[in-house]
Amino acid sequence: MLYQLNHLQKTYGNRTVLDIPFLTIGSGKIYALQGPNGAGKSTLLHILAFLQRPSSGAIQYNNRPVPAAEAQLNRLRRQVVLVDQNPIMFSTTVYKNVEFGLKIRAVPRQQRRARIEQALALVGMEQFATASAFKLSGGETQRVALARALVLDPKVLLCDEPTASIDTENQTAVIEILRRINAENNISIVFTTHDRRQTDVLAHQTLSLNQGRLTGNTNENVFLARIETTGETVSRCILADRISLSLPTALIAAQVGSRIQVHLDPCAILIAARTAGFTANNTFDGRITRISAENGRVRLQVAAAVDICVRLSMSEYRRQKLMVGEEVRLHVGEDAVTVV
Amino acid sequence: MEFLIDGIYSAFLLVLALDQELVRVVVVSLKVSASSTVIAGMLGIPFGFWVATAEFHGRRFLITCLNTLMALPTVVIGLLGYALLSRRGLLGAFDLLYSQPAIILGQIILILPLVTSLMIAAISRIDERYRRTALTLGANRRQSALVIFKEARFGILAAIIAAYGRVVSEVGISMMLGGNIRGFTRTMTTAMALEYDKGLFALAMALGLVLVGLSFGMNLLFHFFQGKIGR
Repeated sequence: MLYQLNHLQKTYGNRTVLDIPFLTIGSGKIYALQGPNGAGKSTLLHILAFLQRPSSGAIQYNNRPVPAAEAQLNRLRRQVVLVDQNPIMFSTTVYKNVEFGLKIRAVPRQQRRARIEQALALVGMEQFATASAFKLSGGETQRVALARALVLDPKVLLCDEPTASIDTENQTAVIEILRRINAENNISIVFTTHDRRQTDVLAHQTLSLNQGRLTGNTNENVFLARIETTGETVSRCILADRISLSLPTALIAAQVGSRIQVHLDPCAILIAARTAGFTANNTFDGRITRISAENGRVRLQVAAAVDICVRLSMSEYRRQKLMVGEEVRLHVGEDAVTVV
Repeated sequence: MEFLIDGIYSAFLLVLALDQELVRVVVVSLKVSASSTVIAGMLGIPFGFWVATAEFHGRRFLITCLNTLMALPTVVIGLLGYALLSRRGLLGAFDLLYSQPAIILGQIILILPLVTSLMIAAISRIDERYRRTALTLGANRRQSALVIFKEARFGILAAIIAAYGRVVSEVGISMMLGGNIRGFTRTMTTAMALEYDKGLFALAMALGLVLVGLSFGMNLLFHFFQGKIGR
């Protein structure tokens, strides 16, 4: 096991930003870390990179407890590299930026040159070696930051939203680099993202964080909701100020006016062509905007009053023959709703 | 107006002729100012770096004190130095009063808060990501501190230049602790004050020209290092 976290907490003053009872991260895999802003993703990455220490709890790396002494931590840091969301370049050339970690490790000059050239070629930045690192675009900076990390041949690569601030072309390049280094060099990767598609294409496993806690769902179909009325048996819940759902009062257990987070299970939402649709409560209309295959199921993105994801079995998808652009009707039964 | 033009003309002639008295005064000035700047830099740069990066109780109070000391008038330091260095003073036994080391000591007291404060400002401006990046790339604490130091180099250079500018142009300390002894503790500023008292403006103006030239040269050098020349 690469990492094992037990009862790990990170607090700032009275605020707990991370609270993970148990988590294991396996070697040689790609993990996607999803969650809204402020969910604790970056904090977790910093802890995994040994740049921050947890306030309490235990963390093991390679089945050994992570030491507290700075010198030993430094030895671990040399196996794990974090690439920031907005990586910063040292104010020198691209070559010298990539060279930094090798120099620290006292790698001989000739070897350094060969490894730097190889790393820059891997990210397609070899022609920028002598360029000033400060003059690069966002995408180029991200690629050089990757080269700067990969030249060190790390066991683990941690990427904080590696494609958040770059254009589509560079996004594709970065994703491809990550996939390649995992497959060819067996580098374990943990990356954070808001982009569900990236998770689908790249990750072997997805971890979801919400308010510092790991959640069972993947944070898709999580909506802020407001309770409008509560009856003895049924309450009205407004999702993202746009969709009204009637739900059992016992399920919601919240007062009128309070705000909660609601998760709609994509596998439990019913979908049908609008013409053949449902007439029951809690139905609303939308249009299919994307269809993709995912782990043996079909994932449909539906633009309704809010964007909703629905997952169908392959057989159900074939039976319904739904297509992109098709007008559909969704039904959210009470079994599809969980208060987060 | 004629008087001013004559003064400037005579000053230029003195500078161009490399007048012996002028050169002697300039050399003493440069020597004393460079010494005090180097020593203050050696003390203030590491101290400022420590204050900027360490977390301890009273840090803000210390920074406030340093900022206050930056405004300390040179005559106050001169008085304080006199009290310390005169025969009856705490350091009287060293017989330093009216010597170049006395001026250097006073000037160090003058610019140490300035160098430290500007160093703190220079380091504080450096993005936290530099330290984090250095650490994650395998640097230890000392190596990551060097990275920050390197990234703050222009701020540090600016601090040194500002400190040098301050000491080379001060008059109170040089006069009170140096005594304006010809060829020994007479600096550009004390010489200018003396020449003014005597009503001889040519040498005073010549020294003024050298001072302005020095200041301009230092700034030019700073911009050169910053890579601004040729943009």
